[in-house]
Amino acid sequence: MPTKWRTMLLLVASYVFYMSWKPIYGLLIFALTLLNYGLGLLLHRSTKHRKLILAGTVIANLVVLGIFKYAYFSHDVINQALTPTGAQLSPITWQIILPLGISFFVFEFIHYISDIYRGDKPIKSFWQFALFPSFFPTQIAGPIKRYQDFIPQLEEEKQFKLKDMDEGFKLIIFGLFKKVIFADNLSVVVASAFAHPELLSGPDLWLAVYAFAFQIYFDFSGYTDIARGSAQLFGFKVPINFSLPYLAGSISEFWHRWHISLSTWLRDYLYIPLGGSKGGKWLTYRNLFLTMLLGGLWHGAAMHYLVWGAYQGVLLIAHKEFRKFVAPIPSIRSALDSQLGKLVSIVVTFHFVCIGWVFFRADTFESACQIIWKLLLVPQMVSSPANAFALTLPTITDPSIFMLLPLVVGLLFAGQIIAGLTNKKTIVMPPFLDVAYVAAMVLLLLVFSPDTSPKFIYFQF
Amino acid sequence: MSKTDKNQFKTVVTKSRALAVIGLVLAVNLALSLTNPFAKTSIEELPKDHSWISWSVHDYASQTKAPDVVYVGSSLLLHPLTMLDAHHLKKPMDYADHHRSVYTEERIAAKVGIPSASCFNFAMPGGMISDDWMIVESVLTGKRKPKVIVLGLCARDFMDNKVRCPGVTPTFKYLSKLINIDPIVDLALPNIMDRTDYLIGKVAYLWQAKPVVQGLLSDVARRIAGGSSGAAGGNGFTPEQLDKLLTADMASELERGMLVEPPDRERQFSDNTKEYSERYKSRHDSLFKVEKQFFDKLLDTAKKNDVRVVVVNMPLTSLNVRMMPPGIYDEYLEAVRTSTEKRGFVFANLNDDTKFPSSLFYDTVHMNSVGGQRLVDAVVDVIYQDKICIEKLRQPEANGSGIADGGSPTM
Repeated sequence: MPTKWRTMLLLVASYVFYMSWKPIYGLLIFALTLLNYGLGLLLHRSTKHRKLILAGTVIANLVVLGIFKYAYFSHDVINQALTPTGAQLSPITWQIILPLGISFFVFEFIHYISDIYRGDKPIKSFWQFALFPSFFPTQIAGPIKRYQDFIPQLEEEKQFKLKDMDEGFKLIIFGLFKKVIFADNLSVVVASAFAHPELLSGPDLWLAVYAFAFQIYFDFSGYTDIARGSAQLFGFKVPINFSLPYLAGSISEFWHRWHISLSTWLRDYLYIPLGGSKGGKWLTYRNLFLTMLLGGLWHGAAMHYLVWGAYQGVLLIAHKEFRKFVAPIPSIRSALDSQLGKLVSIVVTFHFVCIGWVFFRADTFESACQIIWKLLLVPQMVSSPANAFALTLPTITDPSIFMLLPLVVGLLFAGQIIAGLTNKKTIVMPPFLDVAYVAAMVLLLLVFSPDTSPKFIYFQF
Repeated sequence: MSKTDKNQFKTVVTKSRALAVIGLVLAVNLALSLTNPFAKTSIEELPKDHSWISWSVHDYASQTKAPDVVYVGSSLLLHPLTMLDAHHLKKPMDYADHHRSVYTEERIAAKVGIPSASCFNFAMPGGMISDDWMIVESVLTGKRKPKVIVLGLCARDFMDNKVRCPGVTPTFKYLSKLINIDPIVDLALPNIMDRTDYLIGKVAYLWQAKPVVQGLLSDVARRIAGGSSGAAGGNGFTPEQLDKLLTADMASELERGMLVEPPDRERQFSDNTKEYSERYKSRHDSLFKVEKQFFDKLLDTAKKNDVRVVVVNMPLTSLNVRMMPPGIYDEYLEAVRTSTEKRGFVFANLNDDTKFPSSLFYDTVHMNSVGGQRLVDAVVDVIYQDKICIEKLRQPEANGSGIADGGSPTM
């Protein structure tokens, strides 16, 4: 099919897909597309007022995001601030429904306009530009693409490649497996525990937090695999988002492995514009903290997401300080570099990440505090009730959920783990083994899929 | 097709791993369909998957003779009757094991004037009228049929907004292994996604056998995790706490020792208006219409099997009735009364807050043991006033002996 027609076909398919949920929101994404396309061209041609055009475009995108995503939250925050004065804003009387994927495509627009400002060339074809944010495999929950990677793929002459079909198919099965077998089964335990932390002991809550850590990983990385696989079936490559994040040896490394397309976006379009690490220690820390704080707020309009972001900022600053502290002490440095040291670092990092997940998942900030209090076993140390250390959650849930998890996680990542241990980039399986492996996944999907499947966690962002 | 296209097509067919995977899955599916290793057609062979319904069904199948009276309904019947027996017999009652109503047995024997009576409680948490139909159609037939069925109903059983359609509840799915549901699939699975799911099950063997395989594997996991009794030693949670903790997905599973009614205390009152505001969110007319048809089918099945049915409109708090969408309660009551009386069965409206005041409830719908006792007394009075019931209960061994070799359910 000619390149132009291929773009048009994908564009129509993407809009049909998006509008199948709420047709009116097709107009929203189209209006933002028009705005950013026009202002992008204007910015490229302008020699004056470039900063003004950039600021105006970014603000326009953020205002749209703010109205749909943060109106209720801002209203509540302002009302809370006004409480001592006795004044209150009048309630928001219209119902605001968050358009799917708005956080992702607004970030793609900001990336586009910022790069034009920095001197990159704009996209000439309006239809190609329109396809960039609306491309159906990534429009709902990313990965957040870069137009410099995406547009050339639209322009190249496409040939059917067997490899694309096979790899795309495998990625889709992998993603489904992660979502349906792991995330959906774990969500049952997580929902119950996080709804009533007051009834559970510290060890029970640790189990629930571990379950959530894997639920969110499998949910989001499963979605990403499906998105990447779907794109690859059409011959497109979209960026990876995850690289075994729970094997990170530090929080800084974790953010190089977790939601990579977001963390690189935050680095390029927030951290660096704020000044990055150029302004000395305290300015660097301020920039780091603000970046993670706003990153937290990007995830959701609620106080607990803000606290989660702040927590990540504090952890990153603490990690930088720790590195500075141990740098002149060779004994600690060599201990940390040893195999055991690396293993301890992974375990410690994972637990710091888990504590962060409590803020992320808890229904309210108060609930998060209650859970963390119990995770730290404080009530047990204070009152020592009889069942304070009891692990009761597995007795009221299907134990196969917990028993199968380590087994299948091992199988799922066997290739990557063996590759890591043998210092090889990838492990190439013999064809018959590869076919049997994926076929086994399909059969397990048929057997273990729960009857109802909750929506992807990142769809709400 | 050009030569290049032909070569490309040949390459795809012979070298594609994706197609090889699809081929292998189809081959496995064909082999399973031909050998049919998970076929389950009798009650005894149904998986013991630790669901509420599996405990009840297997207990029922193990009875030496069909009970005289069987209660069918939802948790509105299940909880007060179990609590009542715990208090009456002064011992803890485990929901996994206790499926009788001893108090009812004693009251019937005394009132009707027979040496003994047997009563089985087949009420299921969250049970819809379509679940009740499934139980009556697939289990309470042939030599397993009781003399009297007491059907405890409320409007929720017809229009619960948490239930998408009749065919998706754990009870319905579990028992649909026993009967061919093709003739009622339009009623049970009206929406396109569930129907697609069902049709996939027709061609994908493992999809269809999913509950059986999951049950088997889950049982193995439980044995490894600590014996088949699971949490036999108790879990430290009170029934009230478990009610909160068990989400809808977990609530269909039950372990021995997990939920036990204590003999010496009533449950504390808990406000479940939030839960019911979701259940009563809208009239759910489409479900109401379908459930009404299942109600008629249930009565027809009982009539055909010569089983007497006593339909009881269960007591509720007035607060709960007020939460229902306008008009639905009267519509439900009228529909149930008309259908029951049209078939010559007994209808008793026990929803009277002068006889069942809110002090007898531990939330807005479930009665405590005192309420349970008052309910059983009222039900036994209704049975006693019905000549056909009395005749049937006084007939010795009317159903023959040996429930285990009970008749095959048919449609």
